[in-house]
Amino acid sequence: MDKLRSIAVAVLVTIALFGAVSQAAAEEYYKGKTITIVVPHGPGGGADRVSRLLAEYLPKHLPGSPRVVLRYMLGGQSLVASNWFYNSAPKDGTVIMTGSGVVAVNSLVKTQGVEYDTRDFPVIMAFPVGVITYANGGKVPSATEFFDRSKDLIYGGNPMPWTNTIHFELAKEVLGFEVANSIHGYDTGTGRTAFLSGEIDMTVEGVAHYAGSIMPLAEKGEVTPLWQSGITGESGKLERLSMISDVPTVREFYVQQFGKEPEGETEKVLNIFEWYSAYIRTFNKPIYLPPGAEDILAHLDGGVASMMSDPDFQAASEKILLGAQIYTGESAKKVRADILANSEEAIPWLRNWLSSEYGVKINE
Amino acid sequence: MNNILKNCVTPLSRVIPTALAIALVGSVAAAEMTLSADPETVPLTREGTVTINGTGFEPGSEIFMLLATNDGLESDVAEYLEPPLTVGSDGTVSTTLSYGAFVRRKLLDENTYAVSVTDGGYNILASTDVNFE
Repeated sequence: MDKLRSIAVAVLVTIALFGAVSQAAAEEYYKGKTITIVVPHGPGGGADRVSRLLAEYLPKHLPGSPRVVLRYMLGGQSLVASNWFYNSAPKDGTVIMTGSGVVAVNSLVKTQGVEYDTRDFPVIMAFPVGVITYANGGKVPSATEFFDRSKDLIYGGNPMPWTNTIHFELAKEVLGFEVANSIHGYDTGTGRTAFLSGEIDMTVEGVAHYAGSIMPLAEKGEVTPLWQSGITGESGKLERLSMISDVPTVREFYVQQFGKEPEGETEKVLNIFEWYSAYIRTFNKPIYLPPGAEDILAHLDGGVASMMSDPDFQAASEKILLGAQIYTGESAKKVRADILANSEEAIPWLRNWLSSEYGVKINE
Repeated sequence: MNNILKNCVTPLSRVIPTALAIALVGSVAAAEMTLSADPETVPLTREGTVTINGTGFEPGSEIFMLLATNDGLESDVAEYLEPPLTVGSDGTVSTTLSYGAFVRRKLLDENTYAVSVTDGGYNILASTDVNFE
């Protein structure tokens, strides 16, 4: 009996010790390590803002408190960074990447030069980012006057296939308006400068940038907000962002202007637009691991969950998200799978549209 | 103490000079790696550049450059260096950092920020301060 008791105690002690060692090993995985966050665009843009947010808060919550370094990899409209991350990034969790809208679009439509597929990137978390279209308040005093004035307006935005310009040109397809000129040659900063100087009359911008510098002008009537992308809500449908809840989605704008739901080809394009928006907006700023690094999620999930409950992180992230919900872990994985499951019609349509209408080179 | 253990133990009189010698060699090697900014004080402009020179690095070694910013973070600035950062056969480095993108996005302000050269694991080998005004 004593012998049995001794064996039982020994087994229990072994299990306890093994558990403690495993826990310690998990907790110390990042101790003494440096995490590199690959940023596929330059300083100050959306991907950089999210990367810096993560670099500031994640080490505080990740066991082992790793050091974090930001690594800018520019070129090829994010292809240099994304292809490198897909093909060459170490899979030990020391390198992660912040995605962007154009990273996702390039993967979706297989732009020429793309060697990666974002579906192969394990998602640590996803920061949804909505966009808003606005016009010079002097030229478009109210949204209801937009259709009467649009032919005199100059749109300015990023080159194709950047997501803000895709958003604008798709809205143009759905709403059926024309503009005097559509300039696809700005980046976020120069586009805003061009708008504020009167060089262009309307543009599309991420809601965080809008809230920072344009919203005050809208409150004074100098800028007229027109429509927003919306963000996929708990209902699974595009919903208005709470911070700009007075600005309609494109579908709502259509109904407001025409007094009915779209039909026929317009409805088809709107459905594709909404599918595109659901995916691109939700996975606008995802945090990825390289392919084959799924096991590393176990080392990150606890730290991410702890960070998400940090009031300081919540306040800082709210300035970027404006009411959108961050997806983490399994929920991020599920949302991505759910949206992509309904892509049969949209992706071929987008490939053809970008190629035939805008000369975007697509892999065969 | 048995004989085996006795044979394994090194007398302190031998350990201390050896440790001192190792520490001295280490500090001399570390001291050989230097970094400087030319000029040390630069304007806070979107077109700004600063030349970073260094000596004492291992020829052919993989090195990186980090720039500290006002949010307390460190950025690998390889994309903003011309020519790309390499160690010459004489152990020197020389490159020009275009920091305007960081000024434009308000990540640098009127202050002193460190520029560092690191090894492949981002371990700092040498640093210098750059004054922005």
